Amino acid sequence: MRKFSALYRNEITKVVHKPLYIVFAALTVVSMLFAGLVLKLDISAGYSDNGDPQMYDTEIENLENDLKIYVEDFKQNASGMEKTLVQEYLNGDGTVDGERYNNELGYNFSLVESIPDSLAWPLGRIEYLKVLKEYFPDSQEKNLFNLGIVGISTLDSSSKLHFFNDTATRLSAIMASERYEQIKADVFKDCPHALEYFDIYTIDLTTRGIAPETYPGEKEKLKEILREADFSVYIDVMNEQVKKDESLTEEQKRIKLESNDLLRKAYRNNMSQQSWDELNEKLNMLSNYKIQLNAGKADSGRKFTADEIRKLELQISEITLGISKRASGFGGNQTGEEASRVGMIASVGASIAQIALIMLGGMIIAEEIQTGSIKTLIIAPVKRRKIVGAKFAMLVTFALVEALIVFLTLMLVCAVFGFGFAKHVFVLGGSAHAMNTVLFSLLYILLSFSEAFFAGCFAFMLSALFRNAGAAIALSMVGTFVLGESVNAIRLMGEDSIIIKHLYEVLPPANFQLQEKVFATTLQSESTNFFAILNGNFGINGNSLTVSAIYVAVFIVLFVFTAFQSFNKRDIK
Amino acid sequence: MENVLTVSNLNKYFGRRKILDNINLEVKAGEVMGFIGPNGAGKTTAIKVILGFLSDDGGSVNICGYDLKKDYENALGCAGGIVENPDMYKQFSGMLNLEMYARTHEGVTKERINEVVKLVGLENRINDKVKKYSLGMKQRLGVAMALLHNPKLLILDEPMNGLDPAGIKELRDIVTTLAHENGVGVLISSHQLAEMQNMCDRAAIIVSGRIICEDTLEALNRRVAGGNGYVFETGNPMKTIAVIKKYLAENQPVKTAEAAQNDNGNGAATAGPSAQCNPDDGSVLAQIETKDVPAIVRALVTEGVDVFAVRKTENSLEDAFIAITGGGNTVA
Repeated sequence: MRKFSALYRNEITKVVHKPLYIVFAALTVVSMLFAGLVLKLDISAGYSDNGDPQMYDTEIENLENDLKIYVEDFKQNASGMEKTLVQEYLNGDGTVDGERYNNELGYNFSLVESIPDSLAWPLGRIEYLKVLKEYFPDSQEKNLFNLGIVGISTLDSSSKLHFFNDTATRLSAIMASERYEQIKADVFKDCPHALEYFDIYTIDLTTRGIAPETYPGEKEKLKEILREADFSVYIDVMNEQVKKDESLTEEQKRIKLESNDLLRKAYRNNMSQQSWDELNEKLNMLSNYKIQLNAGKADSGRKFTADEIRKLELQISEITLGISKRASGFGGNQTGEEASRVGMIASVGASIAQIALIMLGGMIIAEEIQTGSIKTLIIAPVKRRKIVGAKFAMLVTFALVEALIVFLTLMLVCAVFGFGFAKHVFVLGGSAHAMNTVLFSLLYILLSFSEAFFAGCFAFMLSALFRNAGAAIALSMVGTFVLGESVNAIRLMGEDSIIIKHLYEVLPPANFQLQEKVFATTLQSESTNFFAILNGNFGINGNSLTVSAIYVAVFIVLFVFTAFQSFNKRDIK
Repeated sequence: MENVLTVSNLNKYFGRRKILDNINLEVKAGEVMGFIGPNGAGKTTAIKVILGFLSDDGGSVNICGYDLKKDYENALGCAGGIVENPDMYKQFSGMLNLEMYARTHEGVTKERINEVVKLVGLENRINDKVKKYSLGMKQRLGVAMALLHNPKLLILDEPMNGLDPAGIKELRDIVTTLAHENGVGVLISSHQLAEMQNMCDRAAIIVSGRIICEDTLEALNRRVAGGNGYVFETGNPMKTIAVIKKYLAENQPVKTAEAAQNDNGNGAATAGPSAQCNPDDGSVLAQIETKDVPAIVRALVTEGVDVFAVRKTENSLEDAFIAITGGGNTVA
């Protein structure tokens, strides 16, 4: 042990005295500070995703202006087909034949098509109704309403796929803004019946994000996940927010808290079948009501009372918010964007650290053999396994030091640029957890170093095998940066192939990014993981955290074992 | 004296090529063993096997009673050495190199480090970076490193490369002092045979991976045809030869150079009493023992030959090496 310790000290001396590694450490800090500055400037430039509904008013106005251009374009250039169909419909019996629109005629509304995805939902549909009203000023309210449904459906068919993508938080904020309410009220001023349906339909669409009928076969899985999830922590954060919200009346607060409690009951571990059934029943009622409305028989169907709609809207909007928060991963005062920011800055540091680890791993054995300084080690009365062991220990130490540098720099960046230290709420193992950002960042960075450390170990192995630092570094760079992306590309190309899927899952690139598997629902960019989890795909790369961790560990052990064997057994000529 | 190094039946292959062929070698405490051989003979390979750089393909290496394979750390703990060029961490100072190396040995104090630095004469430059060192300075540092832990066996592979004459003398003094006063066994390989002759007590000659000869320098010299002898400068060289031959014939048998060479199957000539004339200066070289000189001088005087001078002449290790390895001309 004394000799190992002596060798280890020597390795530290070598690294500390080598300017290259000091430069890399400095580069890590500078890059992260620069990334922080860029993000800060970007935010200051105007666009904000901080979740404040008021911040979206300007954006909505911009969208309205854009839509006016689309509307003009529609008036000037819309094909005769669309006009004909609309006219046919207006002259008909008032029913909507969605099949005919979408399949038989293969027709899509050019206006709808031309609206960018980011505008399509939910603003787009309001604007569409607006256009219809302007275009067919004399149409019957009922027909106008039903026609609007077609447009909405068309819009939704394209936009629902994006429901949980990066725009979810923005859209939630838009929906919650006063401006949005004003627009909606204005559009439906002369059309209360449509407004009623619009709200319900919105609720339905929103709910369909998790609604079992939208995802056949997933109902049981969803129920299971919901049963397992403990949102108590999350609900507590939500309740605190509601209590502090001065814009709400006491009555509104009471309803929201009541609604939150409903959620808590529904989503806690012991959620009963009855609770699920009650929720499901309401969803079914909505669905039936929609069908009736769609068939022009709304008046003959049961109408929701205003109170029912309000409660449902509250309840389901909370679910929506909960889902988007789960997707973005943040409760409390922090938004998904802030999580992305922390992750982005950390990833900049981790990438630099990865290069540094590859350099160290690639040189630590080969360079000594190339320069001949290995002789002073071989001639010393120490077994070779201790020499290579000390070198590996140095690699581990260097990785930890780099992780510490990244962590401290991240904290510095957050403090200097005011990115905040609010609590993170994330779902792990079916339960919600609240974690201090400092702790979260540390854990996140340590996990994100799995790839950097993997790359370092790969270079370490090549260093021992090739005894050429340049070759070891170059191959490791190619192996970890280029091949990783290539493997991802192959996976995407062969998405439908079971063989490729399974082959991909055992390859290293599929199992990196452990932090993203642990905090799968934490980062906004990982929001698609929510669906991945629903579909039984744990983690973006297909393997669960445990499996990925084992794969990564196995590969690292294999690399290190190979390096040990190669160094131990081969002659030093 | 005890053996500090015993190499037994050592073999080493590089691929199919046999580099070391059943090497047997012993170095005793307190002696300097020269390890000489032509380029590519296997000297450095043998040293690398002894010091653990290369694995063997049969045979054993025992250092100070420790088997290299079974007791690696204890075996190498008794040895110090330089292999080929003294490669160190060039970006570090000489002192840091020594300190790092010292960490891997127990009981090497700062005082000891300063002591060896002084011993090799690097006091003034020890804090400079090694990359600024000349080759000679690196050699000195390498020697310092090898001596740090007071090894019982010192193995130096071409240690005189790059050393200036003064440096070579210092190294010679260090090595001989270590061996003869401190009882260190030294195995030293070098191409500078003249220096080896001044330094070594014994030598092993390796050719094509085989040790063809291992003996004291004196004994090696005896194997050279002609061996050591005396040069007679006289007024009549031919008569001088006749007198000497007559004396030798009466006192011991005389062998011609050809006969002497034929005595040795591997080409190594064995010396025997003889006499011949040097046509350049007319002197007579006689391979005779010292004890025969007075009698021969008396005989020459008696025969009326003027004797101007009698000089002792010695064969060099180089002569022995060339003769033994088959590359030299014997003296007849």
